[in-house]
Amino acid sequence: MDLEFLFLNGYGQFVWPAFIFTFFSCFVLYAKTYKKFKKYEKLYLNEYQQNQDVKIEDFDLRKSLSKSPIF
Amino acid sequence: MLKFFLPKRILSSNNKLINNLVFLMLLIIIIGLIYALFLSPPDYIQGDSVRIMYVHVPASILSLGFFGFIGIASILNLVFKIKFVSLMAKSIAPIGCIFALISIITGSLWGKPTWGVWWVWDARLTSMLVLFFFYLTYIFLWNYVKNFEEANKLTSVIGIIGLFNLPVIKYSVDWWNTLHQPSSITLTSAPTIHNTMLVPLVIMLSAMIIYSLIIFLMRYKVEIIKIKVNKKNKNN
Repeated sequence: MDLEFLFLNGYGQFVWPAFIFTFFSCFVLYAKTYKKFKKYEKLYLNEYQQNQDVKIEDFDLRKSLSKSPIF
Repeated sequence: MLKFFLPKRILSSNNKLINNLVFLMLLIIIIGLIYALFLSPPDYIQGDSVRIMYVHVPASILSLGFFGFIGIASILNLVFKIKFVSLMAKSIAPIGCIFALISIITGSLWGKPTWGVWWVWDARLTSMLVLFFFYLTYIFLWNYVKNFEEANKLTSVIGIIGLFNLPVIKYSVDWWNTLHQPSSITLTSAPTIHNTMLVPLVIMLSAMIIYSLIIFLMRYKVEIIKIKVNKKNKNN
């Protein structure tokens, strides 16, 4: 196997850590943010679920009323 | 354009945009890495160490740009009392901070084979380190000052003071004798690097911009939810 690509003419010891550090730190920030995002999204849905249910129920009721033969 | 970032609009948006952006970012990163590590040629002086440029330069540009945004948002907040821009700035700060750190670490890794040292206290490197500390102070104040109004004012002051550091970073290579090379890409003149290096640089910059947008959208939505839930709890 040709390992020349990994050595990058002797500069591999500097190039690879630079790329690995960049992607690792970006991934850590992404993972932390995603976890927090999901937690707060769940919290928001729980807090406001009730109101949304009422709205959906009202909407369905109006829809069904408008379709009824009486109206 | 600011209308898109109004809290109501963000709160009602679904996650489809974020998912699509993640897919697009991964695609661009793969293309960027192939270009940066395989297709672009080594520099005639610096050899393969020049490949560090493809992560170092975009990270530096974005960390400066994001603090510029924080500074402008701080002015809008303090002078014009536009509150939601400070939430935008708060959401963008950790991204800028990570990019400032990446810029310093990758710069150090690039400095060793090029200059023979990991670190020198020259104007560009020191002013970049100062920017990193401005980011840390800004984030620290948001996290540890519990009163929102107080934190908002203090962070805005830090944002405005930090704004003065940006021209120092930008022009440090022209104003002082430094080890750091002058900018190869400027807004006012044609780039001085060859297209074979410019293309992967632009691709990696695009990937990092999309990454920043994804993180920003998630963090901004979290900040809005926090305020909305706190408001509801206070009213109850």
